Amino acid sequence: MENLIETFHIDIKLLIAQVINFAIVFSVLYFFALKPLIKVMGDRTKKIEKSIKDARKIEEKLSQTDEEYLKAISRAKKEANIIMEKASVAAEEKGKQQIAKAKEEIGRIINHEKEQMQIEKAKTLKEIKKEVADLVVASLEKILEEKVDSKKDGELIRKIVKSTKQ
Amino acid sequence: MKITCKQYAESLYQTVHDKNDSRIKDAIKNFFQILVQNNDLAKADEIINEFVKIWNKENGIIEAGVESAKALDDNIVKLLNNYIAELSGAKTVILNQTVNKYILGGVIIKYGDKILDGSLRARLGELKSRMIQ
Repeated sequence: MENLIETFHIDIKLLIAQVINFAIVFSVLYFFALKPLIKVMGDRTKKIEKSIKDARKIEEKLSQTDEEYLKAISRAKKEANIIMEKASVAAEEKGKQQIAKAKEEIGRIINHEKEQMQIEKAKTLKEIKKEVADLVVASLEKILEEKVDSKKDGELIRKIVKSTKQ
Repeated sequence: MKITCKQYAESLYQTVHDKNDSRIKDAIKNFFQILVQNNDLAKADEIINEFVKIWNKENGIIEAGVESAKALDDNIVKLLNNYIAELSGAKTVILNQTVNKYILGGVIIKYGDKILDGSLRARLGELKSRMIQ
């Protein structure tokens, strides 16, 4: 040991003094620099962890909000679809009713017109028949006036008497 | 009480129907005196008409009107007389003839409340009705 000390020229006192100096410097550095620094670092770490947690919470909330939003949108879409379907059915029904009503009205108008046409046709036909009958009767009157003499009139009366007797 | 023309006519008929000519004249004379007394002389024409109706009815006489377009010859008149007598059941027919050119031909017979229209005008009317139907 003594050889080792002599070989490396180690001064025990100086070594002890250096150890003490080191301890003093270390203590000073620990209490005035390292310890506050560790505390600051710890606080910072806590703050960061808290921020991360808050961020996660916010993210979760945001995620929940998104889900709710999507759900609300989906529900609104479904309701809108139901309303649209109902409206479509109602519109279709109303359309059918209006078409049926229109058809009925058209049918009624056509029937009325047909009746009117038939009445007009019958009226015209009757007028034509009357005209023809008047012409025929007038012609026959002329012929009978000219052709029926006393002899023929006598024969006619005999025939009438004979036919009514039978 | 007022006496109607028909009642006068019936009483006159009852008075004269079974009497001879001279008694009929007396009965008519008395009848007219009654009319004067009752102030019913104005009804004389109507009473005579009613009397003729009653007389004809009781004696089987019928008055018939015959309307034709032309004057009828004796044969046709006789035919119509017999025909009307047969239809009405009368013993005697008094035929009143009238000419109406409007009927064109044939004959219209009227007796009692009956009218038999055998005129050509009626036939033309029927023809016209059928044509219009």
